[in-house]
Amino acid sequence: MTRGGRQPHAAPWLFVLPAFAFLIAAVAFPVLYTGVLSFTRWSASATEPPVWIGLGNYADVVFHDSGFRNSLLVTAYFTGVSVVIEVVLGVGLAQLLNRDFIGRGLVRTLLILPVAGTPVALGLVWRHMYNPSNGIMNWLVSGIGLRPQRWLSDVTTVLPSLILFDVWQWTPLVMLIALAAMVALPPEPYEAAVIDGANALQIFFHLTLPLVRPAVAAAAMLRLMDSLKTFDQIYITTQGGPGTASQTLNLYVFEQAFRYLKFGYASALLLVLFVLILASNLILVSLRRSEKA
Amino acid sequence: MRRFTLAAALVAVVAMTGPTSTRAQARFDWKQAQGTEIRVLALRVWFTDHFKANLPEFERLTGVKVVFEDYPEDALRQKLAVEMAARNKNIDLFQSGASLEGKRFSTSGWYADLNPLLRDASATSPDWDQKDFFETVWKAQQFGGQQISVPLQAVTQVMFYRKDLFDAAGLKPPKTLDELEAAAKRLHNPPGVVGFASRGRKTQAPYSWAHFLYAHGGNWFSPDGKSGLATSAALNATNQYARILRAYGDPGVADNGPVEVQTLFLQGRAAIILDACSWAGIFNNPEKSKVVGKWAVAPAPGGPAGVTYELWAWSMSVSPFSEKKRAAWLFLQWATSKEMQRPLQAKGFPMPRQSLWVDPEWRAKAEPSWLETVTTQFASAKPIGHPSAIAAAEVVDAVGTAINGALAGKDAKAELEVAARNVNSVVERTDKR
Repeated sequence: MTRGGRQPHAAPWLFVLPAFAFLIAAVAFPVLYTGVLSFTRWSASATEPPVWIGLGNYADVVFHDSGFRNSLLVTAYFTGVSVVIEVVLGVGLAQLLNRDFIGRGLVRTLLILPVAGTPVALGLVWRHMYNPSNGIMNWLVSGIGLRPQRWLSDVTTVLPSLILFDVWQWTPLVMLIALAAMVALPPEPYEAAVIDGANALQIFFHLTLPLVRPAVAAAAMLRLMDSLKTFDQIYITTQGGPGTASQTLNLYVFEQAFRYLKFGYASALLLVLFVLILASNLILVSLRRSEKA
Repeated sequence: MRRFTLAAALVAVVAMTGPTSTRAQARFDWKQAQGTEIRVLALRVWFTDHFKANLPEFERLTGVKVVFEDYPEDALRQKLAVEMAARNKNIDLFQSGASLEGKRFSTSGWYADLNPLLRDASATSPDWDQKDFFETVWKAQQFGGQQISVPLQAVTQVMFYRKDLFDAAGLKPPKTLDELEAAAKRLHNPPGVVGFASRGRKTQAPYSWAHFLYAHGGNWFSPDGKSGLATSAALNATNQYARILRAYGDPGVADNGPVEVQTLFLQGRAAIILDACSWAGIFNNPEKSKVVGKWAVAPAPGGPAGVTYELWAWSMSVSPFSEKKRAAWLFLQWATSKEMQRPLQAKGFPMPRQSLWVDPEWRAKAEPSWLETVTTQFASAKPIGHPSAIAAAEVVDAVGTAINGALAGKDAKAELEVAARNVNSVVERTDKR
């Protein structure tokens, strides 16, 4: 801060102060407040204040809560399957679209539409499509000779159905990111590869894929974080049901907080969820680092 | 002249005895809160629409301005939780369902006791007539000696059935749940018509299932406060409920709530439903219903243990944190007055005031089977559709999860035992508090 022997200035600090204050108010305070609440038992009562119970909530989360364990499994299944499919499909689609053909702009625009749709509206549309009595999905599967399904209304098919919805909605995002990376690739290595006699598959796996890997990894990370936090599309379509078959962690926390009014317990769950998301991303980042090294 | 002086002397005496005697001010005046503005958190349904449509009349009458914020059911509860936990002074009135959340909300101190206002002749209009409410409905709004709310409606679960389909098949309306099962089997004709449609979504199924529970001799809780789920009555009820719906119900049942059940009947795609009597109006509305004139109502069928009729009412309460309680109470009186309820009753929405049910002009127009069934059921109806517990939502969800398991073909006994354990631990925890 000192320049030319002058006294340090307060001015630069003053300039960042508003932004800093905003950050404290908007980010740090809610997180800290949640942290404090997580050590209490409080049911939003106006007559009884929160009761300090130390690590009691965390002990319950880890040792006694079968609902938490169930939603952990549901979240892992939902996130794991949908993110893998989205990344593979997204990169494949990007490769297909990374060439000149008539109507390329139109196809790209159409593919991006699901990303632009509001989750609630899309959730309602998919809920209708999955309706076992008069939805289009059963009409489609009957058309190809399969048995009609119960889709969202059956504990065994609800998660695959939701994954299909998620894949439909978010594959285009992965595709966009991968496509942007592919378009920016230099032409020289490709010319060299063609001269060396590499076929299309070899070019894709040994040239394109390694070159776009950082972009794809970033896309995967984005999807991983988002998918772990999925809320709106499941809330609109199934509310976590039937039973608790599609109750992801976020829905579980929501239920504990706003349906059961267990604000202290829900805060503890939220922090556990936060740590899980952070940890899974750190693992992904360290995987990338070790790859580079 | 002598009389005048006597009266003047009396007034003087009354005035001199000071603040304990407020006779002179005890006259009720609709304009007493003129110039204030109140805020109402409301459910986005027909009664709220009715209040909103008639608001100018209230504002003319009282000079009180009313701001409505209306939400769907779940969103309303979430909004309430946030506002009440924050002791928000800006909310003056709100709606809730006492038989579901009354116990929790009242132990949390979210309701203002209405008794002081009811007793205060300057706050309560002499025309309002509290005794006019059905006693069963009025008393369902009391917790811990407090009057927490005023009912906005009165609902009991009745059996709606398709008269045309029953006649064509030569069937009579079922009097027992076994007969209902047989009729559902007979009329089940998918994909056009399902035999029986009912609520199956985790949070909604227990309301419909509870009728089966009581008909089989069960109860939400045993007399010592333990869960009544791990009993043979609950098992028989669950088995029958799931059996009918699996075999003769809508394939999407596990995801069906009230809207879906109502829609199935409206579209002519359900032969029998067992649900809120307040749906009669919409079922006879030619703009929305394909079954106008094709349905009739019969009392909810009984089981091995007879029958208990269910009672439910949305109601409106004054917030304890409001600083405009008297203005809020004025609105609540106006909204639940005979004049405001009469047009709703005329449209087929059941109202909690007895005088509206004996009005001969209205009786002549009402659907006869509906009128007879609903008035019969009101006489003995009880709030059995929801568990009376602080942790009512947790209990409902535990039962709903078990019902969902049974609907998916899992062993109902095992499902109910898990639910009973969960309910017992939750209730023990909330009671210990």
